[in-house]
Amino acid sequence: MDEKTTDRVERLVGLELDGRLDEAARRELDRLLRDGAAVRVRDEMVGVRELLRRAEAPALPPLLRDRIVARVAVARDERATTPLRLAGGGTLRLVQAITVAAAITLGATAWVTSGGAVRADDQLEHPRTVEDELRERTDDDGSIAPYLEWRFLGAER
Amino acid sequence: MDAVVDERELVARAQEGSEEAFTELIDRYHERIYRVAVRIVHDVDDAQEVVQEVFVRAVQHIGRFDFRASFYTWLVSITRNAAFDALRGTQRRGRFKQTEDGLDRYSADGVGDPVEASQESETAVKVRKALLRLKPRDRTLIVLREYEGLQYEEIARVMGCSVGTIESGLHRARKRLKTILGDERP
Repeated sequence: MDEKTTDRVERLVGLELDGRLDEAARRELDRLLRDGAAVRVRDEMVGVRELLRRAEAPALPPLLRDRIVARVAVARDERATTPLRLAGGGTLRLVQAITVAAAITLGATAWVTSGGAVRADDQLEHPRTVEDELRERTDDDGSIAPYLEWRFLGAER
Repeated sequence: MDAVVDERELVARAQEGSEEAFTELIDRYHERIYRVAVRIVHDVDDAQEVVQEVFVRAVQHIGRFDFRASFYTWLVSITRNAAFDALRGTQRRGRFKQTEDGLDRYSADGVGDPVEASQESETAVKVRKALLRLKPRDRTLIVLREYEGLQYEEIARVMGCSVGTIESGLHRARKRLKTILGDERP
């Protein structure tokens, strides 16, 4: 079985294991599996999944839960008690801090209603840019070859 | 349905500032989040730091959670970011080097504890070392799909990319993992 066919079998078996095979892909995989070599490839992939699942879960460190609760409590306290500080080192009193906060809120409200709102980093959605595509397709060693292949050859690694 | 409603109410109360509600969320999810973190960063100490950071970020930003995804998926998204931050910090400090042969090596000062191999079965050690040889992004895909059972759409949300990219990424990661484990067969 050539490398291209092996790769195709692996891709289809992966989809099969994830319950994502559509009818056409199902028929294609059934056809490919008439070849014993393809059956071996599938068995290997199933074997890898079984091996992954046989490995026991990492043990939870003792007292981790308590450490998390304590750390969150500290984070809450820091937010509640830290006064605003100006770059020059002065400290705003509470009334002044509220005044500044109110001015910022009014400005932010005007900005939001004009369509400039953004959300937390973890829920940020924005039109995909070249930077997004480049970041997503850059190897961990900094190589942009996957991006170039995707952009100019239409290939996904 | 009751569990879903129960969680929505819990998160809503946490958003209103209820410490009790947020602590309940910690109790529900910290173990799973730890397992995700330690499988990505491959270091018990770093993973504990990551988990704590995850819940600090969660309590700071919980007001922005909009229930479009599950709360757990949102936590996993934060975990992925925090874990990658930890990996970048570790690499910058030169404490941990992921070499071509996949063995974890340490700088001369020996800082940092790997997962205690003596407490693991042979299978767990084999799997852990194989996962370590994957690039962090590929490792994360395997962890989220094979261990956390997230669907492609959820993984795409966590990783900030398309479902098609997840499909290709999982294919690449599994192919690589099969090769690695095949190399280690006697």
